Amino acid sequence: MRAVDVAIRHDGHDAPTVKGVSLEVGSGEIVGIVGESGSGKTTLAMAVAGLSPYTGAAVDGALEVVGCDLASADRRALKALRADVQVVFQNPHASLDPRQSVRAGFRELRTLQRERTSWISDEELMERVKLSPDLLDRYPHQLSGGQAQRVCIARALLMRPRLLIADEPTSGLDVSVQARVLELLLDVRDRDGIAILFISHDLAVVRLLCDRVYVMRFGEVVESGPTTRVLTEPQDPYTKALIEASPGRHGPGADRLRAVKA
Amino acid sequence: MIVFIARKVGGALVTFAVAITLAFLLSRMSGDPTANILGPFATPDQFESLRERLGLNDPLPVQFLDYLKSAFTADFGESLQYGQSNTQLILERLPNTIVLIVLAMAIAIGIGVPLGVVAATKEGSAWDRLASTVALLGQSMPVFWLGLMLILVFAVNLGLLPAGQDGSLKHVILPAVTLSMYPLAQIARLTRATMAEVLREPYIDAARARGLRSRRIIGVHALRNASMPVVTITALQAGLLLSGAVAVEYVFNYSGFGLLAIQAVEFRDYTLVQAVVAFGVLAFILLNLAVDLLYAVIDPRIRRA
Amino acid sequence: MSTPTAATEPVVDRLATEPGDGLATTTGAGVAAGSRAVLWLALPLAITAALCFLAPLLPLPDPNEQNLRNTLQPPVFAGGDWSHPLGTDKLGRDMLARLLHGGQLTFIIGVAGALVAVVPGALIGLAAGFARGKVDAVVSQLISAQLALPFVLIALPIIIARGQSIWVLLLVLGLTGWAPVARVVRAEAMSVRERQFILGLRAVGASGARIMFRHVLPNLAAVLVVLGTLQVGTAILIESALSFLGMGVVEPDMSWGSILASGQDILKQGWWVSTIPGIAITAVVLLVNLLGDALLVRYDPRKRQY
Repeated sequence: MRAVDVAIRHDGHDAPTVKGVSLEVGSGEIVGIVGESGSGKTTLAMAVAGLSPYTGAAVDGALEVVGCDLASADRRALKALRADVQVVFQNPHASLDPRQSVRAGFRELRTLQRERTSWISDEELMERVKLSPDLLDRYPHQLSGGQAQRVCIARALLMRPRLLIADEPTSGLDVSVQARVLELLLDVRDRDGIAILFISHDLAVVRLLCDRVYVMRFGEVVESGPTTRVLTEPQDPYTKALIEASPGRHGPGADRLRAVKA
Repeated sequence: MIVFIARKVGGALVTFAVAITLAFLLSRMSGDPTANILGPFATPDQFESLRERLGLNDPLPVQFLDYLKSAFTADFGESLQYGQSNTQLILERLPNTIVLIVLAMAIAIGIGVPLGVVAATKEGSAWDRLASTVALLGQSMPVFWLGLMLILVFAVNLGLLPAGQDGSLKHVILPAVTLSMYPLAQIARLTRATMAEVLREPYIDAARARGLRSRRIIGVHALRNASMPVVTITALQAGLLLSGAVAVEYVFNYSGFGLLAIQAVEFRDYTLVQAVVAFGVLAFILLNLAVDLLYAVIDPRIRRA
Repeated sequence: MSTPTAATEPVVDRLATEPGDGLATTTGAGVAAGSRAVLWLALPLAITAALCFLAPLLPLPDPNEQNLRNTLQPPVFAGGDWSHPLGTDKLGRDMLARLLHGGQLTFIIGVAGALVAVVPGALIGLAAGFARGKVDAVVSQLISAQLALPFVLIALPIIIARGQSIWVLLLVLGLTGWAPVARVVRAEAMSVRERQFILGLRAVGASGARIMFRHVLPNLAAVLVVLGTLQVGTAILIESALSFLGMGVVEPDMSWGSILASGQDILKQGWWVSTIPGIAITAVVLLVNLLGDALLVRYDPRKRQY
């Protein structure tokens, strides 16, 4: 996908939440967007996913996702985009219908996109995300946070997306569980060549997962580049401050996370 | 402030317009009333002349405009039963109903609030549970049945109620008590719930810690905060009260607006029913408007909304 | 309330909003207590209803059989005998039989009246809460306007135009009941709509209608059950009132309200004719209200209304 000088405004707000942002994700890349709460990263992610109309936001500027120009696309074109771009959200339990079992959820997705989802069975899909097929008949409240999140990833994978947007997918999980989910994301990129746009406020995780990173503040991109460069030699003062303030670089969990990338 | 009032009044006007339209549609959509008014033995000529008289042959928009006109000029023509002006009939009986409703509300608040407060202070105890169940009982009882039972006990067996109006206040007592039962129960339950919540708030403990006496705490601080929902519900109960008043007036043969309405239906007095409905709707909207404005006076936060 | 106050965890609504890997649990004891309350309340209601509907099979006299030599016989606890345990009315008809047979219509109209209000109310509330924007503005206005009309003012124009019949009764029940239901459902729908999984469904291309009916609505099931239950109580009270005024159920049909009406003018000599059906109505409505409250507590203790 590619965004050039994009601004996004929410209904009822005068000032745009995101302005003058340019962003690019090539196929097979894992790109991170970091920033604090309110930096506009989620808004940007929703726009890339084509979900802006449902969150009450309007997009201004050139935004092209998997070859489709979003800013000028109507609802129908956006629908065609659906399968190509999938989203995994922060709170796994809130992202699943509490009244649907895992299997029922998959079945519904298959009904919505019959051909596209016929490439894999439910059981194989569960194994793909390292979950036991026994969990298929469980309901969301019977799953742990990590399990639920992997179900969400499975649902995303089922649609064979070309771009996967992960909005703070591990923020609500324990550190040990986080590692497994991140392993899975790396695996997804390596095996299927799916590009990932990874939103986070956790620099430690971004450092280990992303090839390139964009740093956002107050709706603007203040710095961007290859992850190692940005995080070891930050140019922008805000980026510097962010790195200084970030915990966990030397903490116990960080070692496990480092093991993931190795 | 002015803007707020203007907005509320505007809203009330809109609601009135919509409600009146709904009422009109309801009566027109129910088909041709002449058959019901005249009964099965009337001749086609009689049907026709009645239809003409009631303006039912005019196209619907014309009928609607006529209805609106009557609503705004308060002229609903003459009653089919009495031959008198409908508006006059209504205005004669209305004060009686107002007295009844006001008295009933006074009883409901006067007994319901203290009951709720006491129950809240004893929250969770056997008394509380008993009070709550009794209150629920009050809401489950058919109001007309309660009226009959009260008549049975007080009038028939104890001779407390005079038959019909005797100009004194005595004949309002039983009807008012009957009518007050449902709102009393609702107010008691609501007061209890709100008070219980308020009493759990940290600032109550803080006040106690400062050494303020329990009674002062409850009376002044807690009550003021708990009064909001009660005021709201009072407005909402207006609708229930009118419906209840109709039944109560019927049971006690109390000559008010409600009894007039029932008789109008019983005698198929079409024009009177139209008038009654329009008045009723107007009264309701005005009452709700008054409460909205009162609310704003009590709670300054609302004014800025 | 007189329902058990053991802390009940809401089963269905337990979305793990806490971070961490904890498995969502349900406190078994609390849930069981809530279910017991529901059972203890539903059982007497079911038994009463069963008795009423099985009345024709019971060894009772014909409720319509008049016996003018046996009018106004008091019930067995007020000086009468067991041939007519609840006495007879002014036409000599057996009260026990009339009570049980009359219960049929009372229950039927109660349930039908509740459905007629809850189904349209839920659909309208759902549409308004989900669609938002102009649709919602219009519907909300309609709901307020409807709520501004006390039921009496709605019932009158219809009855005078149509006369009375069971259908008119149901129409009135529907028209007066839909608005409060719609208001609650609209609020609930709006809150479900904001939940993240709905956005996720949009991301996979689910249409608005699909989301509304297959995802929002089932999550409102608990609310609808409670509303429906409470509405049954309201419907019974309204039907009784209208029947009492002669505008609901009339001879030869019988409901508790109409039986009550037949006793108005003989209060002194035959007080049981009005008293007994009234007790029946109060008892059933009380049980229904308690049941509704128990269901509310069982499924969502946050919304208790004491």
